Amino acid sequence: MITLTSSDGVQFDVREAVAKESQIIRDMIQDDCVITNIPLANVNHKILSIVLEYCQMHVDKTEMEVNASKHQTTTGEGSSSVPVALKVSSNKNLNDWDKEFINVDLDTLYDLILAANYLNISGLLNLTTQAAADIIKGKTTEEIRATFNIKNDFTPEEEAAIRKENPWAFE
Amino acid sequence: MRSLSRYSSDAPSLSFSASSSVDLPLLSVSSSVMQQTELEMCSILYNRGVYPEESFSKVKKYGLPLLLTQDEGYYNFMTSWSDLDYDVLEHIAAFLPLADHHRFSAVCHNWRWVAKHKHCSPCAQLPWLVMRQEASGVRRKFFNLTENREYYIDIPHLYEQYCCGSSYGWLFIVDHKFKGRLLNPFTSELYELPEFPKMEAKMCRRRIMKAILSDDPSVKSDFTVVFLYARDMQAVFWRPGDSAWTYIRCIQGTIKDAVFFQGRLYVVYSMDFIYTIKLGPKPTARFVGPRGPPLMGFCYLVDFMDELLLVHRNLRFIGGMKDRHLLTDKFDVHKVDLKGKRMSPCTDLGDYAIFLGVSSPVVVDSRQFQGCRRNSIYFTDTSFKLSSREYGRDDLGVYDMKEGIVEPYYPPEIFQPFDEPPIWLTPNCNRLLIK
Repeated sequence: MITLTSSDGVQFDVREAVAKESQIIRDMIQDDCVITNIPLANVNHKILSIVLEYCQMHVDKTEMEVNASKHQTTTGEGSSSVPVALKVSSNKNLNDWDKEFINVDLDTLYDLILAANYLNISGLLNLTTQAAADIIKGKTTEEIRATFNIKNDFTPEEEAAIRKENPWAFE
Repeated sequence: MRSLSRYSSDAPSLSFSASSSVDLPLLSVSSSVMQQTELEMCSILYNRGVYPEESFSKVKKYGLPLLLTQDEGYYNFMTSWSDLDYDVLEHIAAFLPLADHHRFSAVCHNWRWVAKHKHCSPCAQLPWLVMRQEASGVRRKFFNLTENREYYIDIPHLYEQYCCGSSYGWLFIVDHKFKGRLLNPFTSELYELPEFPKMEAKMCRRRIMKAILSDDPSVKSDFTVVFLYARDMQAVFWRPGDSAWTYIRCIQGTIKDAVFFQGRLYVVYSMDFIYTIKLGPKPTARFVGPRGPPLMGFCYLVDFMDELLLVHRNLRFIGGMKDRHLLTDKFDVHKVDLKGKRMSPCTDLGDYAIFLGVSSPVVVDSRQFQGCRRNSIYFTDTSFKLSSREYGRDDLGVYDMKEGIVEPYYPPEIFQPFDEPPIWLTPNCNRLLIK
């Protein structure tokens, strides 16, 4: 077990495999195997609990698949169709689970992106940045600014020049 | 508050170890740096009176009483989407298709910097349709299937040009003097092709049936371009370094389609005889395999996940005496067994979709594109001879391999018949390697 401590001092005890979903933690554990307590300065307990929920789910699913394939190799041809079906359904379920998981408000999504980037959890970073991209898709530049509360910091001349590069995308 | 820096050496003692285990230097330092930065910023903001005095609360850190603001404005400022790490913004931008990428780059300075300077290109996307009815002007209509909308794009290079296909995001264009070029309409890059060989008197631009590329010229400088002519006029090819076009005339008959597959050129002639052509000063052909009696309509060769497919497009007449014209009825797909010189029927494309027309075929994994149908063939009207001028120009749709039915993909309310068949074009934002 490893203890992760959030920026606001809340401790989470997790299995090593779950913590190791984070590349940065994985590297540390490899460097020094006696580490059991890791403070995470940039992640508060609310976000860390969500991140750990993601890691837990993905570790569980992966382990399930490994077990299924072991089952397949040890039991021979007769029952091989069962684990394959299991693997397919678990992949599908995981995608569905991810979709449901990432259905969060913008502030949480923002914090999750920061946490995924800081902890270097590539699956979660992909999931969260893809979710942000999906929100951007199909919106005009003004709508994007309004959605994400971003100030237009271009001068009118700069903005006109940018739009002139590809005017069709702004019509 | 510069005095804070004096305490930085004490910072590791602040790391949050609850047990006696070894602390992590990297995280401890970064955590204390973060806290220090925040406290320093708050002190500056306090001293400058940026936020109301009452919004600051006292906290004790490093043995000193310090101030931390609770003002929402500060937190909004500190948690701004516009100030995300460039790496993170690049991640987001990489999930955006072309049009969204352009709009993303116009949001604010930071986002623009990422879109322009991080070698960040738009994500893969479904082919667009290039409409060809306004051939004399520079404004062209594009239909973006993913967004289900039209775009009007001014492309001066297309003025009075005849488009005869696309491959790897490049349009093949030919001018009045029969000079050919490759044009990437989204980067405006041009690649000049040599003069076409002196043609027969009856030759005209519209006799060009299709053109294909072996590779993307912006990825591989050593590529081959092939132009196919209608009827029995065969084909020509050219490679960078060649002084002129070379005729491919090793087989008698009409070429129906051609494709580069595993680095070789495959050509299907009338009666569905497939040959592979060895390109050189004197091209030679090797017979690959026949199929049963040819059906009415068109056929295509497709590189489908390292399998060579022969796809038949079957047509039927619709309408009465006055508006009688041809429409696509169904597709028949066969896998070509190159070793056994045989063909076997293929009734299921799985999760994939094929885009067919005068362009090089495009195969996509439907799971990667929202709204894209699996096990389907998207097609455009093929040739100006296919439908009658008056009633035709509407033979485009998506064929469901399982159900065996054709449905429209172009919203009927914005669809207008066209003078020449539209061309599929997959946006490609790579820059040319050589000029």
